[in-house]
Amino acid sequence: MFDLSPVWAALGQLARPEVFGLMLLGNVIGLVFGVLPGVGGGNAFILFLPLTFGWEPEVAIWFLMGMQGASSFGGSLPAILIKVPGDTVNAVAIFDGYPMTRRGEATRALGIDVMSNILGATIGAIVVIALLPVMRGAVLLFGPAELFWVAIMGLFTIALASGGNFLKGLSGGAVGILFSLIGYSSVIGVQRFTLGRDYLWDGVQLISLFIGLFAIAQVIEFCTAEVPISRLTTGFKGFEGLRRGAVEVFSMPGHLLRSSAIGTLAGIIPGIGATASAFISYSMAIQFSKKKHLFHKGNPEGLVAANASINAKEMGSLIPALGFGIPGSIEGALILAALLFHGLQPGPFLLRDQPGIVWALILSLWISNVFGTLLGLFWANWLSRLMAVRVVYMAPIILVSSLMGVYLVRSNIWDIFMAIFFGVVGYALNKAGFPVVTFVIGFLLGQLAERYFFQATQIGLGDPAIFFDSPISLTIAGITALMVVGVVVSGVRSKRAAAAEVQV
Amino acid sequence: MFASLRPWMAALSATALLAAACAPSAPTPPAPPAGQGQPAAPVDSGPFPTKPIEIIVPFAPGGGYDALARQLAVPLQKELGQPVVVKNVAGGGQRIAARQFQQSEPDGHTLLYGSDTPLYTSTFVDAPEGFDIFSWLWVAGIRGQTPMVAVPSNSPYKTLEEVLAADKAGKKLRFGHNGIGGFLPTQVAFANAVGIKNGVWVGGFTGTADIAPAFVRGDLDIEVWTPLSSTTKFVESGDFRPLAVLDAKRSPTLPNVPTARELKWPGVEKLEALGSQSGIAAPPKTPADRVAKLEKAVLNALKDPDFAKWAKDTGVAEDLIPSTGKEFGALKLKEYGLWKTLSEDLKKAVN
Repeated sequence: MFDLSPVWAALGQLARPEVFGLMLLGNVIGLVFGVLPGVGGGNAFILFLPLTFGWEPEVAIWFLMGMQGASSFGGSLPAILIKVPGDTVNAVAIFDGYPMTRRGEATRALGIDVMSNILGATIGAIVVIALLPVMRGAVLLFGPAELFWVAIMGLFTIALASGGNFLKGLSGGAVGILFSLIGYSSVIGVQRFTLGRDYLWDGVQLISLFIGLFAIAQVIEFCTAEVPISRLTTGFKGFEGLRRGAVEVFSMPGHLLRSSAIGTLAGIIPGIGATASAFISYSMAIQFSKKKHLFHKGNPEGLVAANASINAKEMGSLIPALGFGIPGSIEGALILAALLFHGLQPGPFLLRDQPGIVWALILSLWISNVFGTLLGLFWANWLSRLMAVRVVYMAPIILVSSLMGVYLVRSNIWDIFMAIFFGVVGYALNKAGFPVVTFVIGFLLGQLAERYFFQATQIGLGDPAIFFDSPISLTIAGITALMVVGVVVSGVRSKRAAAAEVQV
Repeated sequence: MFASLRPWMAALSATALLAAACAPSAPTPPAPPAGQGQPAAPVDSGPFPTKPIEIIVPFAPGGGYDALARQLAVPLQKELGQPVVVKNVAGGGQRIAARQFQQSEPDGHTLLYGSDTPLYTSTFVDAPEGFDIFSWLWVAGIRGQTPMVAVPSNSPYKTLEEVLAADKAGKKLRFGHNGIGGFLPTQVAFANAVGIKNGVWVGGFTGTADIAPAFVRGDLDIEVWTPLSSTTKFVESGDFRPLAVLDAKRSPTLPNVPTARELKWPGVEKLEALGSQSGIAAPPKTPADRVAKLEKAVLNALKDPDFAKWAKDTGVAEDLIPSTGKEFGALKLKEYGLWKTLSEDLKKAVN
């Protein structure tokens, strides 16, 4: 099977005190950047990459992956504790993490957070290692037709994620789809809704939309409500709550495995981002849960679904980078940038020519996920006290940090205005009782569905058979159909039940 | 009641301030007569550089241009005695960066390293304002990107003749692209030069990252890949079947792949001009002595041993075309001339 010597060599690297130290340093940096709203691990990566100039490539990898692995856990902390996501991927952790905090179960939520992070990364790592011999085939499984169905399936989850109000959920999703269409479409070669401005050429920036909807909207909420984030004394109550939360994750193997699988797959297939996969895995968790009504109200299952998929996705994104030397996602692009920066040619020959590097990548990303998360625990104690901080101090810090994060991505001032605009939109949606989640799913997948539809149609030269000619397409289409039937049946049932009650 | 309005007012006034700060400055000066406006007479413009130098890269961090700029910044810093910073201004098909660059202070402290060809060809479709490539001062030529024509390794076609015969028989030939600011112009120009009539332009890709897997899957029939250095790995792995490189001479990394000239492809003159060259530019009106100083520094930095080693390891070395600003400007004018003749075909392909 495998020649194991490069694995031991890569692990041996970690035994060197300076390498271990640098990984921990990377963890700390990743956590800090992750915790700051809007400033994600990607920013840290770009900022510190030039610092590694002249280092041994393996050492640089341990350091850089140290940041990468820790930042998503860092970002989940403010999401759970103060309802402000650290990065776009962490937005999903808000839905059930924050209600748990409000109930006074912050430590339990953090325990779940920690364990689902670690297990998600571990499952992702196992899948990646198992797929190494066939990784190229795995990347090629999904073409435009298959991805079209993935996007359609994701869009149908809007119906599931609507919660109580079907009409508001669907209309929010529709508006989200409209927003996703803004920009230059290279499929049909026209600019749509760009108002003749180049700024809108690339469409609405994901980071502006998310920071607006989640961070800025929350700041407005803070300012208008003028109360501490949580009136409850939800401080850190020792390790008992954490332990309970951590153990609890093992009681939901279904959610854990499904979400990790969705995440890993999203990493492997170029085209579906980490944020979209987190939302899809959340909606799927609702679909498969027996406690559907508890979602958005502090259901631990939702938190597991969100976190496991993000961390598994990070591992999965190694596959296209290693198999083809192509970036499957933003995370993958960063890894490629790091390799290129250190004079390594990413691609199909890396595993053959420099297996040590490949194993260093896989192991460092996995181990730093575990270490970074554990390290973050020590912070959790201190961070959970943030909830008692008065709003006058908290709101400006969140505002500055998140707008700075938006600006950092591409140094465009209009991205900040856009974030403020979506902040107002998010606040209004909340007040009017529209579920933000359906708006976001529509935004993430609307344009993707359209693009893959056009692509598949062009590739199939106009013959619709292309949408049904692979087992994967048929499977996903089938799951989607079952979902629709499920929603309709449960809708009819609840109506009948309601009608029956009225008659009685 | 008014208290609750406070945060809103604060946000509003901040917005107004920011808007004022970023309002477009004076309209761009009218374009100078065609031709790269090399600075006229060198006059002493004082000590330079006096502060950090910024290289604008019009792409997000992590791409080929970004990587090269960051590597080059290190020896350049030694040459100039001031920090050299890479600033990524992504978006708008490079136009946001182009505009920012055009309006920057012409004192030699702001430079641009991007891909100007798509920036130029995309102007055939709409006429963007706020920048004029013909007014830029070229500091030095850096990289020439040789294209390669390939089919997927499971394709029935082994030569261009077979491809052309299939085209004549009415077979549709699918090319992948990522828009007018991306790979589309090269595909259209290639089809035009060799006489392919039934090209289908499959858009909606983001770049090599998703075109390559689609290609290997067999979703596309033929593609012109640029640059060679980022696609040789697919040839070595057996995923691509190369038909020819579009350069006057064979590539040292792919010595077995013939050139279009050896194969006597139709329109070979046009094909060889398809490779896009990239260089470092300074904004119009930068003093000539500063441009000269920068030119010397860049050309020296390209010879730096550490940079050379990196370039060799990553395969970039093969593409390097260290050339003076003047040489490079002349090269660019020739290239733009070719694209101009294709403007109608490009418009058609887009719509």
